[in-house]
Amino acid sequence: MKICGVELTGSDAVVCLLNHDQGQFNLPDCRVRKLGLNRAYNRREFQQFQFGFSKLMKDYSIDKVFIKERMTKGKFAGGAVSFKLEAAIQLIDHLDVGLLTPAKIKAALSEHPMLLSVSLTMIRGNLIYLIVECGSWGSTGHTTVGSFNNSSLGSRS
Amino acid sequence: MKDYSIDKVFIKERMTKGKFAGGAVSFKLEAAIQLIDHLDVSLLTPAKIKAALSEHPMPVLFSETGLKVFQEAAFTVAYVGHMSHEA
Repeated sequence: MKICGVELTGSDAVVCLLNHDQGQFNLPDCRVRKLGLNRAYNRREFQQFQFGFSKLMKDYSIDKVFIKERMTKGKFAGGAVSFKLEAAIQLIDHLDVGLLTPAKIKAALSEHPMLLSVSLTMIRGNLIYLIVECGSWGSTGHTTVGSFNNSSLGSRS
Repeated sequence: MKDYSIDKVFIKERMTKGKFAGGAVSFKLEAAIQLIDHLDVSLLTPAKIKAALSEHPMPVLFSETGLKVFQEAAFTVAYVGHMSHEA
């Protein structure tokens, strides 16, 4: 299953693709890291953003999109443009979009700790093998092998 | 919009930040309206509305229109939309 994670910051949508197949994670190569919007109030520009995002998801045959939810009010509320971007992504036809609250993300991470730190994925080379206790990825309880295939960052020196 | 064959939609713009900023949901609604296919949507800033009203004063009192009080802003935007369209 291929999932696209989205973080909305300012007037950008930062994307990251993550594939999980038979207990293995890999980071598929992606042509962009973020999709931006220059003038959020220009209708044409806005429609272009939606088209671009929709095309990206189709090109990489993404099964599901998850957006990190921002607070609607208060000190840490998200920006106005970020809510417009969220609406634009949610309104794309035939795209399965879910929202994840920071609390949910935290809870899931404490239940299933990340196999790798983000900085480790920057390591030069292609494959990092990890032996992890199951439990986090399956219910059978035996030991399994997870691997990270870092194709997007592997070519960097 | 289709049922009433509307030619143009005007939305009153809200500030994106500050004390009088619009709510998060209002920006999502704005996005949803702007992304409707084949619908001509424009935004009007409060400053533009004010300028248009001073140039073309409203010909009727709002209380005489029979509209609901909460529709006043929408009515004003529609009026200003007509004025700026003709100008």
